[in-house]
Amino acid sequence: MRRFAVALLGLLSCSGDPVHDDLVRGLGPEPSGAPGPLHRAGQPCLACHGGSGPASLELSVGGTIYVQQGKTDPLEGAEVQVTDLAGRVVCSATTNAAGNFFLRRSECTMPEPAKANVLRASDGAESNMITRIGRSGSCATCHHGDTSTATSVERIYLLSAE
Amino acid sequence: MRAALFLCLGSVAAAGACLASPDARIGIQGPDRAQFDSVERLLEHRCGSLDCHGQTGRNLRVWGCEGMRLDANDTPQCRRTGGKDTTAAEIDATYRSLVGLEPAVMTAVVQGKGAHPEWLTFVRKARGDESHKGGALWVPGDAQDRCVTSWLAGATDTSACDVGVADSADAGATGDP
Repeated sequence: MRRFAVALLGLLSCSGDPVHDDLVRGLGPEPSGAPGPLHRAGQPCLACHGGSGPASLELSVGGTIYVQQGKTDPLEGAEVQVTDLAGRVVCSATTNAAGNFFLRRSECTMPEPAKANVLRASDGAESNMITRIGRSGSCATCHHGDTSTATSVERIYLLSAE
Repeated sequence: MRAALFLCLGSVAAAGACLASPDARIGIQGPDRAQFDSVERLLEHRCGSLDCHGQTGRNLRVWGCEGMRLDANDTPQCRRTGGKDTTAAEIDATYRSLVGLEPAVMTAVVQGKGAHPEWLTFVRKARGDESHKGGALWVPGDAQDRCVTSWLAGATDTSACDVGVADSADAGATGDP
């Protein structure tokens, strides 16, 4: 009976996909406050918002943009454009105070593959993706950390290091 | 006496196994490695991004400068000025990953001179004939498909591979990653 109860509890708290569940668990607890648009900067948004739970809001694209290479100052007020390979803008969003941006699945279907651009209207600064997004709408699937490694690229930034 | 003989033979066999070349053939017949470079370039470009097959979590792993690097000191930034291009070791690793994915089927395809590329799961998935998270990447007979199937048949159509990469519309772009 006890084993059944434990198993049932596990079943109710998991998506049934161990890979997805491990990914969500690996993100750790909510850093502070309640979940919201400013939370979990730098983490892969679609791990929870990709439609497999645990978040109810479903996104198609989400990420965090930083001001400068190697630093963690968030970039607020920049436009993030999602484009097809020909450069046509499919959807766009604006980064918030945490540098986060996101596009709901109901408002944007990300082409696969896709690219992205970051533009700051105030000074015309621009950063364009030259490789491609294969299929993941979470920028942080590939972009994380201070520096690039053999299996990842550094955080997304607008300005190169001085 | 007999025990000593067996011990001796066993030692010789063990020594031979330890000295066996890592390139020794073990019964899998793959397509010509020498003709794979053009094919690899297509696979790396179309399949090898970090969120697709440029990661170790995939059965089919693709290494290269646009995705996962083999050397821990390299980064996926070949398009950036000063970035390091795909290495021969990475091409070798991608070749072994591809051939080793379905070794028995690959052997049959190669022995049949590529008459049935669709026997391979990676071909069916790329064509969209089998469920594939990346969707259908090409259609039978287009340049990308000809690049792969010609390699399987024993004579890579390198011009098809070049067209296949160029068809992606962003080949040759430079700038920040």
